[in-house]
Amino acid sequence: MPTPKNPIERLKAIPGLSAWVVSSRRTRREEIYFRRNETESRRSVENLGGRVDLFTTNGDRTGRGSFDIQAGDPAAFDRQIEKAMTLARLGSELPFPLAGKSEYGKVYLLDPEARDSLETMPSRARAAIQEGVGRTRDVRLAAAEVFVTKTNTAVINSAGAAAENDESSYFVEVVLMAGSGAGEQEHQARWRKRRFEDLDLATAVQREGERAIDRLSAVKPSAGATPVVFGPELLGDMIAFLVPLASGASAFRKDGALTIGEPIAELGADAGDPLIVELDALFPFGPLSYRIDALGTAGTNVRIIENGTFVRPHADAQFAHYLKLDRATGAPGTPQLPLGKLASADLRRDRYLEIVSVSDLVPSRGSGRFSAEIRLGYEVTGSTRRPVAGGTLTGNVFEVLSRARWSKEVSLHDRYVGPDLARVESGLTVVA
Amino acid sequence: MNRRTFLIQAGAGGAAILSSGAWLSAESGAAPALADRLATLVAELEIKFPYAFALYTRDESLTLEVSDDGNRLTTTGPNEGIVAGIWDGGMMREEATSMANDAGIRRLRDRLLAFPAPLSKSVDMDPGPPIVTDLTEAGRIPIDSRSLTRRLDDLASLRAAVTKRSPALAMVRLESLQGSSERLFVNRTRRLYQKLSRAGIGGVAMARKSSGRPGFLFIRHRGIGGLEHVELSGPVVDRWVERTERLAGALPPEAGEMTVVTEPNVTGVVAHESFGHGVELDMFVKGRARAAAFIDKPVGSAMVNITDDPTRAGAWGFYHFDDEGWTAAPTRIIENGIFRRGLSDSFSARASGLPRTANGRRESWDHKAYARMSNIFFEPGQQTREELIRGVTKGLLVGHFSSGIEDPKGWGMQVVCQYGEVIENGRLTGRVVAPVTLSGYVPDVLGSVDGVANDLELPPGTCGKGYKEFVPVSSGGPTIRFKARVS
Repeated sequence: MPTPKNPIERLKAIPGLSAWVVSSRRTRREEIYFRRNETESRRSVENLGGRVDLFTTNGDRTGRGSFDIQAGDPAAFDRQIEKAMTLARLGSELPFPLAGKSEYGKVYLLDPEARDSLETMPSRARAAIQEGVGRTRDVRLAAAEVFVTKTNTAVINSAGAAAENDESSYFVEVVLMAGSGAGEQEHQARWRKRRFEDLDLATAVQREGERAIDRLSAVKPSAGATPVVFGPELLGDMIAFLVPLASGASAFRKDGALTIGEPIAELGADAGDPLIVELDALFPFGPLSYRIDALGTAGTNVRIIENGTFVRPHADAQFAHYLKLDRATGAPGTPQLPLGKLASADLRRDRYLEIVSVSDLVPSRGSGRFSAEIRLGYEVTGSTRRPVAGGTLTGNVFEVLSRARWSKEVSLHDRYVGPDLARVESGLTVVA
Repeated sequence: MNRRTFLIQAGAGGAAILSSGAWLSAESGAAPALADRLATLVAELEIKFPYAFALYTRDESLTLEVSDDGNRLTTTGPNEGIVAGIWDGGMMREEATSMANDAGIRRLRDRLLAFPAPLSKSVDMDPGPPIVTDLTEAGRIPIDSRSLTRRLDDLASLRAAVTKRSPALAMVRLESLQGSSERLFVNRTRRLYQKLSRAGIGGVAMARKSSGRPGFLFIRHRGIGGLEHVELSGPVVDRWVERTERLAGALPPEAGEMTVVTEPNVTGVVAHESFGHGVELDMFVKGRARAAAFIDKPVGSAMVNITDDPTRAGAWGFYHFDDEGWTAAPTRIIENGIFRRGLSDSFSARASGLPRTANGRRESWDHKAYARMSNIFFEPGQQTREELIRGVTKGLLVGHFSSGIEDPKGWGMQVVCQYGEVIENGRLTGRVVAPVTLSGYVPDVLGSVDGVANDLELPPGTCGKGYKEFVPVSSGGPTIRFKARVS
């Protein structure tokens, strides 16, 4: 069971404290950095920390004071409590109840290899990267970083919630070079997974090596409106933008672009495959899966978008209470999108621009509009497929997601579970 | 901006370190007392290895927020820990722990001493000349000179005043930040301690019209120091409200190459993405930076002068020494359009053979050091902002950046901004467009700079490297004029 007893016994004795949450987070991480084929640095990090949130009742309002804890002397802990209580007494949020004891689903987030062999995993990843590079002629490794982490998280609160879980994560970034002299091109890729096997690193690096070669012959894309096919990198960016706008906090404060009960984009006949977005905190090895959130709510799932309409926000205990929702759904879990009816090969037909990656997707919070430089793509016309780079892709995230047709092939990607590919016939334009 | 003043504190008095046991911690203000323990650690490590260091970091902040649904006080941290490293003749090995106490130091020592000794202890690793410093920046108006209750009341009054200025404002949220960053660096010749106080104010406003999407505008002012950084002037508030209203229902800009006039916070991001990231020397040694082939060659118009300076008083990226113990000093990156020098950490200086600069920075104890910017800016010129606008037949005034991204190898850059206003025949038309993305090939962009005003500002920001490793910086300059692709 979670957490040291001493802090909790101390908290129970504080006068004027109406609620509390104590969480501990113990992390071990191994890192390797290499430049070409030489190791630049090796690092090991241990973080034995946690957090305390204290709540007070201030008239008809509530206040919150918090602090991070690390192994420290009891006197320091007491001083932090005093400071946090002072802050809590100044707060004036609407009151809300914490989640109590619940059924905590089993959620698999820990890679046995990270659990048992943490210190050797970075070297295994390195070997896989080098194997992948070796499979592509004329591609060199410029640099790479590998982080392997295992974490134990435990949360306990004054309402009776208590759970803990173990998880792992792998972060890998590679920079590949192709060509030479003034024509040399760089291609970057990064991956985040919970299990080493899900990285399939040698294959992934080989694929990126082929893209590095393609960059050597990349030209500027043709300007104008075009059908676009895109994969997990761009789709992950769009989902990462959408999910916070569908939060309970945003719905309560009415400070986002979405309105409950309304379509995210008005497209009528232009709509593509049904857009369904579900957040599942219990999805095995899901990138955002968890067992218990920071306030003590058990991980669960919630459907936020149904047939393109924002039907229900994801909401933690605080904002679920304010919005009078039937249940709190906690922090957002792993996004899931539906599979489509068409195979990827069928989405790749006739004329289209396939986007591999853009520089940085930063849509406007109010409108969803974006404009992003194309780092690598492919213009396809019949049997001709030419690499392109440069120019900017412009469009609107809400419209793209509502117009998209999804592939029937689905996978566990870095930021969601869902289609490997999507196609949009209209609404996206290249400015070259 | 006034030159900073130091408050030199006495060293280790008042340390709250207890002698043993699992529950030990070094509290803020007691970091200098750790110096002896870290010096001992370094000495023990250097019996076996040619070079060792230790760095203690502690960061914490408090944000006061006032909004429609009440007051909220949010703390971050304290996040403290120690990283120690050894150079084993071939690479740097580091061990890091959140246990900033004797037990943690012992763990670091034992783990590092377990590595094999190098074949030779001769190594080119300059520890620097001997220096001992103990420096604190508290600012002109210390943070604790005003009670939190009073600051919340001030913030609430300001919010009420802002909200009243326009019926179109549907939401206004204000926040005030205070915090501190401590660093203690020890190697065989140096003991360097600094504590920097941080403060700022910012917020977001939303405006709605009868139809169309809402307009949002974020603003932020921050600096190293005290409550002198938590004021929003009347003109700043007026502009914030007016522009938020105009952003409601704003259409995207006409796309294509055009003349743009960028306000200081956008100018700064242009500097940051073009010749900030592009000249971090770790990119040179990895073959990732095109700028490596352009040292002492022209890369922009003669009006372009870009400097990185960690010693700029009050600026968000200020520090006395970097996280590798190198004393802060400015670096003239571009001089009259000629690229002169890049920014280094100890690894990239050693690997490249180029001069070392004080730009080795870590997000905190649990992150690696990389070559990073501090306060990067275009140097000001002689013209006025109004002169620059008058010289535009058709173009855009661009302000309020959202984000930027660099491409040191391809030498591209992209800056996304929240606000644009069409200029025609030398005048602002009042036609607002948003969002605005500026992109282009860096030498073309800098080569087209034909106007540099005299209104230098150093707006705060957070810089990421590879979408992680976040450090506080400022990116600034005056209003400038150049050509870019707009979309």
